[in-house]
Amino acid sequence: MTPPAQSAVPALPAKVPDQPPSALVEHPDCVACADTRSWLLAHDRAEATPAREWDTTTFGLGWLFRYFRWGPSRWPFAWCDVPGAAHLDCGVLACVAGMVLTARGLRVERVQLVERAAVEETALWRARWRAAGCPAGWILSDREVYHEVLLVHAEPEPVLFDPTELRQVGQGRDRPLWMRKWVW
Amino acid sequence: MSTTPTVVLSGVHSGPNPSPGLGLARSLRLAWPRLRLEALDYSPRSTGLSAPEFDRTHIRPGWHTADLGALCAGLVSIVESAGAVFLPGLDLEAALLTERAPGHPALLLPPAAAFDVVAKPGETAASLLGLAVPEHRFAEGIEDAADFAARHGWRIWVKGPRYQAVAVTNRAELTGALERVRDTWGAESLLQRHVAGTEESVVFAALDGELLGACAMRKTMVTSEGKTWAGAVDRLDQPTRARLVDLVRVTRWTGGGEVEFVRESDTGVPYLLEVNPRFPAWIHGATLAGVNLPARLVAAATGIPRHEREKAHSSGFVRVVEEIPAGPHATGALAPTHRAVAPEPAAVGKHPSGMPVLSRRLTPARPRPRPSAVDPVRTADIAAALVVDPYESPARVLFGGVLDRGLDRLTAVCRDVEDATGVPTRFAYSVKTNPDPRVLDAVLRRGALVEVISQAEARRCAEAGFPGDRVVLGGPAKWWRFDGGPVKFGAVFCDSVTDLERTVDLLTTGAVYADVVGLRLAPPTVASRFGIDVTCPRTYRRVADALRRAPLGRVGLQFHHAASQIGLRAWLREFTSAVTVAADLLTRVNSRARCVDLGGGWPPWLAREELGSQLTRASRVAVRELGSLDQVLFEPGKYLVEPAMAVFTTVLDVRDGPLGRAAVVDASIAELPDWASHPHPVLWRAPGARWRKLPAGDESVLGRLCMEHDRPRAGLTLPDGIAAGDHLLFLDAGAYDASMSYRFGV
Ligand SMILES: [Zn+2]
Repeated sequence: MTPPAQSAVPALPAKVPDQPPSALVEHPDCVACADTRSWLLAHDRAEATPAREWDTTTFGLGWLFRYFRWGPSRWPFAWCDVPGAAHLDCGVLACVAGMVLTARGLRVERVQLVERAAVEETALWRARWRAAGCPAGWILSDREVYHEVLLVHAEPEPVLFDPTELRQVGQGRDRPLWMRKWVW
Repeated sequence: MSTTPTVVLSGVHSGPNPSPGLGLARSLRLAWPRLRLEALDYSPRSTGLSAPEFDRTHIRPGWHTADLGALCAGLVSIVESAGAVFLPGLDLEAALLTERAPGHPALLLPPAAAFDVVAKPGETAASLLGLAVPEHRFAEGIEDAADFAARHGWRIWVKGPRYQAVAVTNRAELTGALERVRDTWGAESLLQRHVAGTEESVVFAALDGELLGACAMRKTMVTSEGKTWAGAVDRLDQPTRARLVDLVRVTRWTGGGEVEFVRESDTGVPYLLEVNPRFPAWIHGATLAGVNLPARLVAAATGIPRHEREKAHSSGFVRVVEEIPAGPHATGALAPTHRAVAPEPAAVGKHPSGMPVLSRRLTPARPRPRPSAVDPVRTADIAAALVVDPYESPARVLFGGVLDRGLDRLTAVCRDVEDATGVPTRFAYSVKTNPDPRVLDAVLRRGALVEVISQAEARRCAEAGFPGDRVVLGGPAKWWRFDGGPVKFGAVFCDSVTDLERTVDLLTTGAVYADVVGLRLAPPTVASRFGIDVTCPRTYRRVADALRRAPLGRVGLQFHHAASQIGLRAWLREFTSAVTVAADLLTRVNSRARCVDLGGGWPPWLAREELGSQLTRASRVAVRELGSLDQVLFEPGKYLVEPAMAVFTTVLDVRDGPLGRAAVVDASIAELPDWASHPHPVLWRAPGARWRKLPAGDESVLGRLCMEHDRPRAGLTLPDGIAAGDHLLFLDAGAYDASMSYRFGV
């Protein structure tokens, strides 16, 4: 069987992001910030199953989406903002998933992407972000969007994991136009 | 004899649950545009007969009229006279042809040995393929089936011998599914545990034990019956291919086949669902993905050269619905009687190929089952309970012996759990299940606790002699009609955050004293109106804040969800999740639980060892997450009292009615209000004779009320000699049948 057609060499994006990956605010001495992190780690432990050990597609993080949907988050965003949020953007999800996977003992690095998108998609997303009163700077152009994912050093090989889509980068989508591993 | 190469295809219906014939025709047409294709089916209502892919159609007599031997001979003669090969699209037709025309070179179907290997539940096939088989049982009747369903958390499948699978989640669905499968197919149902996970399929073609090709398919859209509507096709991994080669070789498989399996989400274990002895209806999807198995099979069997190269149009497929001109025979879709009376549209034939009729013809008639003897212990219990004969009828009778043995068993379970975990373990009888003073007295004398859900129940227990520290208070309305106290409880479990706040107030003012105060934890992924779901982030924060404001003394955690509804596996999973999160929550507020209370809905059929090991596992999880504990409590209700009472009745009438043969008795669903949740076993006694147990069947016992649904028990075979004046005893009527019974029609 032949793989689905895809462009050989993606064109470079019009704009290359220069900011670091998103980071959640941790209020000093905030009980609620600490409660949130405690809840995330406890819940992740509670969801452990044998099958999760070799699941390098979702990393067993489907439970997060029982409480949240992907959507606009208003930055700056703190840990204590998580419980009350209905929507989390890819930056929050990358922070949350990164914290949880690190607690499982996995080495995790932050990766920034520029991905191709359809004009219809970006129009819809721009309207959603505008309706929520959140800046939509991540939509770089009508056809290009900024996105945050994780490089997870899993066995047997590292995996570029997209916690927003709950799959590996490249599964079911074109390859990213641009990619940068962030070194803090 | 035709000189053009010809293929005859049976099973060409194209409906919501199609047969493969039309897909096979499309795949073969793609390989050979000029191949002659003939469709064969058993009623003009098979819609694929009108498809333009076919050069000729054969409508055969229905399975109900014809002589099966003659029907098979006719089919063989159609194939031979056309110089054709035959690809079957109907399982039972294939099985019948294998039996009647074994080894016929033009019939591309598996040999009899292959049918044996794949017969449900397919253990041999599973072992060859390296797959597990889900837990299963052949249903004897509703009692047996309900028992199996409860053991597997009411997530089971009721399957016909070859076709049909009905998902079942409750008693009413189970009754309906068993009746439907028996009425449609004439055979007993196979019950199978539902395995939650991703369903996958492997389709293959083979000739005389040699694999000609295979590919894998993952369903991406399904119909409400779970049938494929879209799928992603992939090549087969090497280990799976090697095992498939084995299966095909040892069975000397010829023809198409499909292996359906599911990979369990929690464990990753692959379970066999079934092996079909023919190509699946989605076969053309594989062809479009570049693997034309029907063409490979026909080429290998006939030597017709192939000129086209297999081409992948896509790695997946979707189904569409398409209107085509009806062929001349399709007018027969409206039966003449309909034309004469009212021309109503005919319903889409579910089985236009007549497989149910064939299945019923092939299923041997079973002898009518007879009542069976009752074991001596039960006989002694009944004799002790029914001392006066004839007894007042209808009447609820208490089996003191059953109650005593139940209490013995609970005491033994406590000891088992204590021995295994080192944690002192006691049980608290759930009073609401049956507050009969005789039951309360028996529990009191054993030194056990009681669990109550209202102040009125608490007072009733105090009157029965229970000191406050042996009373556990729970439920959402625990302070309803509270007289202001002061009052003492052994433990109080709060059902919501506001209930926790109210309870803390009462403790602070001294109106209530409790050794243990705690939270009832809600199951995280099973819908429940009770308890506090600490796995929800907002609730987690609220509970943490509440406990910081008012620290509790000795904290307890209660988990209570009917194991008889969700099954022991799911119960333990839900408990583990909830207690894991609760443990971290308590740590956050510098608290620690000293006691866990494990409720309930423990099904009465659980053996001492099964209940003991379930409670031991749960206690170990609790100790792992919470640290050492002072006490483990558990709350049996039904477990103790359901088998301890029965309803004694007298037969008033035996009749033949629209629901079949039925006995009318002087009891009703007012005396057996829990009739819908569990099937009561029924004993029968003619005057002067012994009690005998009624076997499964399709007859009923009707109640005395003028209400359509007053049918306390269906699915029985009544004895030949049953008559007015005989007695029936409805067993297992000691739980909610007792506490919820009402006066009606008396
Ligand atoms: Zn904060």
